[in-house]
Amino acid sequence: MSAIKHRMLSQFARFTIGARALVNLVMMFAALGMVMLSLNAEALPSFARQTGQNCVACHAGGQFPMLTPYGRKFKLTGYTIGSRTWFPVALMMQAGATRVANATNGSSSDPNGSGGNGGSASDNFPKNGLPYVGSVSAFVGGKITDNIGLFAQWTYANYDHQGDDGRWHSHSSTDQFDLRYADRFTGDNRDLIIGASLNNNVGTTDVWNTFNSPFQIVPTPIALSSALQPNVTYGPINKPLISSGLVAAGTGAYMFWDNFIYLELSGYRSANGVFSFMSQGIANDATTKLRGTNPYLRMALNHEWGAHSAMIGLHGLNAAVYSDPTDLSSPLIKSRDIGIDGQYQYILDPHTVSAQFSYTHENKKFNDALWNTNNPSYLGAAANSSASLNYIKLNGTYIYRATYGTSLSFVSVSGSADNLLYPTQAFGYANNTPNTRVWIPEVFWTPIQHLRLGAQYYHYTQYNGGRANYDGTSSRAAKDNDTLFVYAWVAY
Amino acid sequence: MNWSWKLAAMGLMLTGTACSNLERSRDLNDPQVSAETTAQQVCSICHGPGGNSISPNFPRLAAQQKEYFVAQLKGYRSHGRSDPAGYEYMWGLSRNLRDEQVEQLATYYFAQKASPNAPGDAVLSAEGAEIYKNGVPDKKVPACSACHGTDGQGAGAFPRLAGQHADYVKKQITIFQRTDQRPGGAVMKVIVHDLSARDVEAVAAYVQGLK
Repeated sequence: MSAIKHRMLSQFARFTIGARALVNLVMMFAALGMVMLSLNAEALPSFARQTGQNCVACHAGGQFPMLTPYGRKFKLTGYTIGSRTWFPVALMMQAGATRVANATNGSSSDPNGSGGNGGSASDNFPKNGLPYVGSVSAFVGGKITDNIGLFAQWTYANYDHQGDDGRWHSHSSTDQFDLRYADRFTGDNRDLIIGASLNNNVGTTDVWNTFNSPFQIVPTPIALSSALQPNVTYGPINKPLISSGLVAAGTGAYMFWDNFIYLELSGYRSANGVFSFMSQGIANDATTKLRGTNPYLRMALNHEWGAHSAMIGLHGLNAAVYSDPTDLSSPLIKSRDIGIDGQYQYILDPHTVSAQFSYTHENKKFNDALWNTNNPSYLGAAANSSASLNYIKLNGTYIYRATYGTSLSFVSVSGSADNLLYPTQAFGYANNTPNTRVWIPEVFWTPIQHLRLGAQYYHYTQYNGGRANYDGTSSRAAKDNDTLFVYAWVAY
Repeated sequence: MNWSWKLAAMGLMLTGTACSNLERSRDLNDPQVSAETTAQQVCSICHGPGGNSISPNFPRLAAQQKEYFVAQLKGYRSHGRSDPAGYEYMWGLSRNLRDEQVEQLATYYFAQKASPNAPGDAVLSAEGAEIYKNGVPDKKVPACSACHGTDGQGAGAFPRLAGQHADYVKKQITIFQRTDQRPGGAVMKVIVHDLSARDVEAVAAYVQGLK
């Protein structure tokens, strides 16, 4: 144990962010803090303005995205509690820096690529350790009628892509969208919430944040580093479809009976045609194209006692995905995801404890043309007719006085070997498996509810199927992809 | 006109009609919504059905004294009561309630049947019973029962304590002792000032077990 501790400490010690960058970062955080502290305490993001409540009412320990029992009801009743506001807009901004452990020997997803094997750090990690404002989101959220409410997010990425001239260009696109209708039949001895949702992402509708992609470990370096730090990873590359944050159009219905049984059935289809407003700004090849309507099922048992609450649930998605999102006649990948998940919470001021787990098994079956060399239309996308993935997520969080917090997460992916899905060359899967394991400790501080400062450390014990020399040709090890992420997160 | 615009237009029409649903509304700025509806649709989420909350984060309201209830809700609304949990949760929820709605909510909760709460720790409760019934003569702390009633049922401006969550009672006594965040309960500052932490725990455990 002490050896592991020593190794992790020495890893941390290696992250000496340049003194100048650090000063910039501290000044940026200080400036943000001054701005936020000068704001009127009653001026809260749109949902909070609607209810007039503090973030802690809906978010466990005041931290997005985990919901309290009340927050879950707020969402399930269609964001309709409170008074309608005429300007239901909120803004969120992430700024920070990422620094990868080894920026000189290859890169995580392209160990043998152009910048690999001794290539300069600036090729692979152009903003390594440098602070930047990564993304800004605008939300329109709130009560529309007594039964209808909306949660919609539009995200602006400051550094979306680099032009031919080498300059960075921004881009904005739709992010999360969830339009709900809900009704609640309740009395002294009964309680039934029923609702319907039109949304653009599997899991956006969920209130437990266990398996779903849209709301899990937040913030992540995702929006910050997708283009600026293209080779920084924040967990496994390969995830089951249900947890991958696919952009699609979902319509469905749900019920929550007596605070005990939750059932949701939705159908997801491509976000094109009439539903294209839910994928505005997202490149055609970046959306998931689905054949017909694909069922998503969610069941959960919930129990609350004293300051405790617990949930155990099942989640599943059965989807037929076009292998080429730009070609709706391309061969299909049939994906069947099923999983179990759970959550425990203890919320009693000044303590908030939260623990979550999810296990998802995915089985993918490939159309003959994708894998069978004898097929006249053979495309060579996979070596086998099917592939499986096992995805595990564990998280434990403790927050004191809704201000100081720490969490530890573990994410693991393992799957069947396939030398075309997980090729050695260029992508660096020496063992042709996606197997990846990462530990993510985090500390954060929320001096005021609009501002969160934190640091996450992604420590890989396995990456793309290997621990050391995972690509088979360079000496890059899983731990070389370890990443420190420091951030300021602001919502107003 | 393409489909997305048609859908947006339909959405706007729907919004324009703003169909209200008075019997099951969660609108806190509509004087037409009855107190019973608000209690069931909104308050019950934290304070439990009929005001018998499960989580000790939220006080039990069932059978609470009307006068006390009205004073608290109006205190939140005017920001006179400013203990952290109060302003975090209640300032906003109460800000647009009309006086009649506040009175009706008080009437509704006073009429609810209080479910027994789990009895507190036996040793602590025994100590608490002594304080509750006889006070702490050495510290000149009067008996709680003098105002809150022999069975903790309260009277008028003095709140019902029977069955109240011990954690909530403990936090309120501490607020009275250390702060001026509850000016409406200023009289309590003098009364509980000399109670020790153990005394507070004990009396809180005792009242939680009262039926």
